[in-house]
Amino acid sequence: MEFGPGSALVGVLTAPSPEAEARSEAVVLVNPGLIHRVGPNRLYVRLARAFASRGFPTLRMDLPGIGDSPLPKEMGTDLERAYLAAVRAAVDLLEQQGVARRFVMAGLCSGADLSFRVAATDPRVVGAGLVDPNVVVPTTRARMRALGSRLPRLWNPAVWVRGAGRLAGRVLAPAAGEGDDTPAAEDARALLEEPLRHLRGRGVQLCLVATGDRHDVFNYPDQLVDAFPDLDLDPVSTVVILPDADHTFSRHESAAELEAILLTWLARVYPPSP
Amino acid sequence: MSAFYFGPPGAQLFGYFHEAAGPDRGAVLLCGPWAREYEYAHRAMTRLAELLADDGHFVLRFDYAGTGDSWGDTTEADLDRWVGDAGTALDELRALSGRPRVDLVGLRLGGLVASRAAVGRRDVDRMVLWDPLVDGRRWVEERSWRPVDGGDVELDRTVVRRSFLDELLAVDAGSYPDRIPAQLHVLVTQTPPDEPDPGRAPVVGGVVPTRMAQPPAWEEDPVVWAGPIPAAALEYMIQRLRRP
Repeated sequence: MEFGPGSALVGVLTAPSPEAEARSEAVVLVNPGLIHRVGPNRLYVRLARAFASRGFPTLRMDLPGIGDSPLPKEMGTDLERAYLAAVRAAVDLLEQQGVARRFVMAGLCSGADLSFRVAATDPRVVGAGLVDPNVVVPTTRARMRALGSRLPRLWNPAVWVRGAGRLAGRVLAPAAGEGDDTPAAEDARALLEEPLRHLRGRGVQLCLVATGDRHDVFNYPDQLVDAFPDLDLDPVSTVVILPDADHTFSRHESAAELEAILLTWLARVYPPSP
Repeated sequence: MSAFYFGPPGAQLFGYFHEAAGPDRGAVLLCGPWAREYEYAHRAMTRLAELLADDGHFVLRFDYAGTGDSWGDTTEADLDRWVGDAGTALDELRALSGRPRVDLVGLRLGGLVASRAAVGRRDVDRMVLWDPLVDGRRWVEERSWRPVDGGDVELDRTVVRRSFLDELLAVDAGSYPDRIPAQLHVLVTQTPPDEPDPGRAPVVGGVVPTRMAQPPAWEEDPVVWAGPIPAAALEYMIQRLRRP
């Protein structure tokens, strides 16, 4: 598909399998970092085919300045505006072509961050699959869990031989004196709270998957609910921790696990259309 | 410019065609690398295509079967099949551009694919092999691989048949055709650190390579999570493919 201003934006739409039950929602996958729409280790192709096999049309799109989509000069360096406009153009096209009228945004890393932003601003978006988002609120419990997973290293005599003081400082520093009111946590909270309140009000479903590479900041399933206790996120959120997966799902078992999680979530919260 | 699918129904290849924007200089097919090298080199290959188009070339980029946006699964990786894919892409480029003759650029494993695809054809004028892969065993050893279920292997984070791993292990300078029917240029930007100064010895095709120190387009720049764009290397190729 080529769409947007000057038909310059590029995406690949995977049509739903003819055997699959019809769904009312389409999925839009947005780039992780500067990796083009195929995703790391072809992860996005795998996900798109899996979603389509269950009836969800899925668009893998290149954001402006990434892959085959150019960054319009008039956008200057305002990437967020360019990205939001590009996703809006993609959703507009899918709606105009009758592919779907309800949408689920999904992405890895910066793709997760953008998916969240789009979900918060476009009323056509009814769900977001967020894989290793950069902006999360590390709660005190999450910090303690992260610290706990480091402590066993301190009981290793070889570690002490190499310089326990230096290592202890490194191990303890992230947690020393920090609670969930650290500037970083407060910054993240400020970025997330109002959009989350808005999403909760609209009943937008969230699926958050965190890998072992995010263990330091996000590491237990109730963390999202704990971070925002006033928002009653439990009914609209699904959180899965994959401690053995790395950030780019470099092992095919991890990629298969992610595929199963997202597919199960999609099929559960968006049943076949009547 | 346009993205499209071509090739046989049920096994279609993804292509991206760049219209010539400058004085007519011909048509160029780009054959890319594989696995993570493909992922990281996507930026540089896209930029090369844009610059060639600005210089007057019609350019086609494409993904081999089972890679990138093309149809198929990663376990369909097969060098002979990809050589056939490159031939299909050459024909497609001729049809799209209206040019009877074409040039080829092959990066890393794409160098081997491009050189083999030219064999037996009389419509290829020039070829640039950009850091062609000439030591498959070293390439494999520098990456991780492990057996997975079903007799397959996971190589460089991609599940392939064991037979494809064996194909890669066997790649060396002798894997390239003895006679490449094109005006051949070989560009080498990376020399393995433990390799003695290769002087001016040919790498493949009996051609003395041009050597220039440039960042490897097919490796990750950890700052941007993508490959760098080696401007001087791209300029070298544009000059070599520029017809009078």
